[in-house]
Amino acid sequence: MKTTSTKWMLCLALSASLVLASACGKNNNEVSPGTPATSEATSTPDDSAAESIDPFAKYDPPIEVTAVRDLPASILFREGENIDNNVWSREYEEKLGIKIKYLWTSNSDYSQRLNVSITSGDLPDIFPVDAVQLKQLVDAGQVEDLTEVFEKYVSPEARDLILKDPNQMKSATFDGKLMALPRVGSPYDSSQVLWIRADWLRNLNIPEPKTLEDVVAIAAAFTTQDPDQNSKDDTYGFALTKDLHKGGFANIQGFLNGFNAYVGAWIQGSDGKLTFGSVQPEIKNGLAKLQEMYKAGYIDEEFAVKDGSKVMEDLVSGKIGLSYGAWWNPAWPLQTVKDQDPTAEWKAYGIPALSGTTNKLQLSFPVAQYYVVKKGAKNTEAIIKLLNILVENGYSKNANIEKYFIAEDGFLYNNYPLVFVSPADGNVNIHLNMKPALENKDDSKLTGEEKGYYEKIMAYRAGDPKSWTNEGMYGLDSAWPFVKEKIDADLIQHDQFFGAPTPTMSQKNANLDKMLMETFTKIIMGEVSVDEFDKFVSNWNKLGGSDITNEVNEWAAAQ
Amino acid sequence: MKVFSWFNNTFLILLAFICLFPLLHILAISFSSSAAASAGLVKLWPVDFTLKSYEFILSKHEFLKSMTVTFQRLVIGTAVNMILTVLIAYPLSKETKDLKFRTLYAWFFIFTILFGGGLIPWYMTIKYVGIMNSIWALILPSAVPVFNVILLLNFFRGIPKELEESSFIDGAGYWTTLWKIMVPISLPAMATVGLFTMVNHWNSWFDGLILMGRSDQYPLATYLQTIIKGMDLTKLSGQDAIVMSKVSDRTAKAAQIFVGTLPILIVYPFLQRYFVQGIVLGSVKE
Amino acid sequence: MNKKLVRQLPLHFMLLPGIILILIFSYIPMVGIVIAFQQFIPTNGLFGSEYIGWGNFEYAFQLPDLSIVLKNTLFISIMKIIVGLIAALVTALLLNEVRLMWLKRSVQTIVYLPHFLSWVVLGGILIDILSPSSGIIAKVFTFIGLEPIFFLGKNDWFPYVIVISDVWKEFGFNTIVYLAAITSVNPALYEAAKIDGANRWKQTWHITLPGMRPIIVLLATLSLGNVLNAGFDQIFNLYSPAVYKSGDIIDTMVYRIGLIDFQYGLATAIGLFKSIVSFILISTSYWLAYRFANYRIF
Repeated sequence: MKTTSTKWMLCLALSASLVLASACGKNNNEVSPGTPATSEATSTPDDSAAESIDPFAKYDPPIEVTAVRDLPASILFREGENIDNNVWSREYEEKLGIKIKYLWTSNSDYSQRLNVSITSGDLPDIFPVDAVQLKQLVDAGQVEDLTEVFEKYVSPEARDLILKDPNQMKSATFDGKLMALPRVGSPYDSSQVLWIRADWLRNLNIPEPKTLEDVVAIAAAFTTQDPDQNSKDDTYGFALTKDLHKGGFANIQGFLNGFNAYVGAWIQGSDGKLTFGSVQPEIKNGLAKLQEMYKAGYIDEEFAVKDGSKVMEDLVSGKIGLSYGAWWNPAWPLQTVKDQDPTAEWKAYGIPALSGTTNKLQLSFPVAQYYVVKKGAKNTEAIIKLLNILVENGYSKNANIEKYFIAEDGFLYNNYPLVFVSPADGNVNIHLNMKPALENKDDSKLTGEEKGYYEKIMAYRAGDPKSWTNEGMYGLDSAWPFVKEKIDADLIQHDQFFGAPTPTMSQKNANLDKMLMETFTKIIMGEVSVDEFDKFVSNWNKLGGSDITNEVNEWAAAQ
Repeated sequence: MKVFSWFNNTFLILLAFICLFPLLHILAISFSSSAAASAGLVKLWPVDFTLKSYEFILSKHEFLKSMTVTFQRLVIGTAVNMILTVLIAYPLSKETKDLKFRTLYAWFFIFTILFGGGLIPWYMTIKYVGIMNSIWALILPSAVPVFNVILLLNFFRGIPKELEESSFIDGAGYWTTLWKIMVPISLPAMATVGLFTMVNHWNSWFDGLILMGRSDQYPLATYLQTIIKGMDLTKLSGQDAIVMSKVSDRTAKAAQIFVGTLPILIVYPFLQRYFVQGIVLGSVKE
Repeated sequence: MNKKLVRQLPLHFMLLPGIILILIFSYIPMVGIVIAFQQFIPTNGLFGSEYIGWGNFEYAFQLPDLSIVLKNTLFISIMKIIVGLIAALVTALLLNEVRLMWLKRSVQTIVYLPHFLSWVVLGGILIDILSPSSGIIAKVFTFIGLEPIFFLGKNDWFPYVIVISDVWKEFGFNTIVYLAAITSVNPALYEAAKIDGANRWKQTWHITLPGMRPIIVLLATLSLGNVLNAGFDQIFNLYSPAVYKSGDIIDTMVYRIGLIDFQYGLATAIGLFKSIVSFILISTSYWLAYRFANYRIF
């Protein structure tokens, strides 16, 4: 124990002295390919010293920054590489002079382990946290204020990207101070649409759905009219998991959007106040319809015990041909359906509304993770540089996707960087660029990343069913045309609450959620009448819901 | 009697089949094509037979690495556990008149299986001891398997007093008596406790997850846990889905579960030879 | 007197290494029990959070579903303890009657297999087997003219499925210790009984079982420590909102409450409550055995 802690002190002392050295040595190491040195002036107008700061300046001698992070169990490295030695770690060292030393990495249970580290007070310099932890750390004054270093060091491209959706940045701002870098992303990436097997529609000669009524009719036809033409009564109309509206696959969120119901989201009520989507009367209409469909046998009678991977079995074995789910469903699980049955042809169909009504597309708040710097850490600005180089290598005009994100052979590098963000409209834009390219069979205007997808799509069209994923995710039949339509028509329902959970939420939510899941499941299964919903709403309010609503509105007023 | 024997055997064979079923199912999946497995078509016989998932395992560095960590843990851990178990169980098997504070000692140990401080102080203690990220973090905190101690203590008590006494008369002390008489004579009990210890080390995954700094230090059980559990399907993002489409494969999981379980399954039949009746009696006669 | 202590010294020394390790790794962490009395926030360290007395316990005991959850927990765990003990014991006795060594050993090995599969894996398999539309059980039911039952989706059935599947997973493993106990029975007793004309059944009842009594009593006593543990992993992998009413137990409830921010204070308080209950049950039975049978269980 003694030895480890002495080693530690030594490291700290060493890195401290390195910092001093680099501060004295001035930044004359311009290792920033393609970044004009003039760009800083605009970012710091109040910089009286008029000191020109290069957002990519290399530390010389190099510095060591400690960190912890979670690594997904599925992360893969090239032969002989690991988290300490890969294309991104080398990039950090060579271009920025930053050596990241991971004190530990965690596969799952990251939050647990981080909480233990926080409690015992051994925090690394840079680490990702969730919204609850961020608030606790800020309240306890244990993280650095990044306002100044952000202004000073951020590159113009990174600034644009991270400020694109102001709410995302706001969620990391406390009393006007930027306390963390949010892991920004695209709200549109939470888009859910309706996926249908177009080959089954053709088999039964049914036109494409325009309204929710059409969807129910298709579910009926898929149940009773043998859409796979195997002369067996072995199909269901509608995929659903026991998690109901949670998860990106086979859930009821998109279906309920058709009723103008927005489950799980905080939405603006008619009085202008925020109110919880799950307890609105529109939900009741949706549940009534689901109950009807369950009774008629369109929904698997066993849905209540099946999770996503079980329902996936039913899709892959050709029992289900209609499912609401995320835009990325082609990657998982629809490609697997295609692997098993190459004739299966999945297409996205937006989120049809009840006839005569218009509905909105429900999106959730995209930031779930924040990068913070420990109070008192040396080189607070290093985190901004990590952001700069990520944007430079991944999203700027100098981006090199094959080298830094997805290799030509499909190998993924984008889990390697410590600080990761993605643009607010990344995937929509890929589709929008892809569309003319596919229509004109001309990939000359595509970026490197897009070209990769384009080639896969071409391979699929040339007869390789294993390459369908990218066609489904970015091609003409993907979810994006419908999402784009909703964006253009301004029919988007954002989740209006994006703060840390309120005190009553952390105390009562578990119980409220249990009540919700239980009631919804029982209503759908027809074990109780749909009027049970009204009782649920009044109980919800009584058992903490109205307190939570007040807290959420207080939060909104303070924004 | 014949009739009973026949019924009994049939019943046990039936029971055995019910218990064999899940492992057979996993084995069948590991030899099937991944699409067939994803479709839930595989029952007890492989569909579209293939060895792909076993080729995958052989190339999977993490799997093989975690196997070596587990073997290391098993060897050191079992040795430490067994020595401590015997050393504690023997004194505690004495009457209070032979060992002062015996009952107090016993409760001192029992108390720890009932009360604990939770994850955070446990982690902090291990950190301050300075064995974090080393194999000792998987061995020392659980070095005293109290349940096994109590079990062995009860077996020791069942040994006829005459044996010990004759050893004392021959001039042997407690140490000699323990190793020369008590341990050899309780072979079935030692085999049982030894098996429990090994199984414990083989199956523990949580300590590896929390105490090891890198996934390449994970023991097999931790590694398996992370791949089996996979991603939380209710929190999947687009990026996860793309990763999943590349690596999520039931057949590979099944093969890893099967290969990862096999070694510990073989231990038991091997130890069964020590489950012999009448060792105690034989030694008394001597 | 002193001589006696000196003679005992080696025994005390034998205990020393174990005592030191237990002190470090079990007793020192117990200071964490203070968390049960705190409004615990990790950033404040182990002792720095606000102390709220019995606040966490009060919060736990006014949770709206607590009575149902407690009832489910007790029902499932007590059933598991009783059925599990009997199943393992009976299997051990039946195995003891098998004269074919190869059969005895293979059965013994095979029944212990399910213990090694995690509930994540077994959960998926059980959902298949118990499916009312395609499961094997449903097919058997249809064959003998019964209506298939939705075992995992109906509150009337769910707790029993939990108990039976848990017993199925663990009985083989638990058999081992009983088999070991049987080996310590003196064979001479059987010889004597045979001469007296006792049949196998009488021998089992009058010789084998009494010989195993210390181990049975020990295991039964220790299992009392589990009356508030109904098996988190198993239920977490098998339950669903449809069976919350009969399947939600203390541990799954605490898990869900902790989903947002872990709530270490509440979790520690409930853990402490469970420990105290176990302690009372075990020490009571220890005391009873000593008082009335002059027998020390451990």
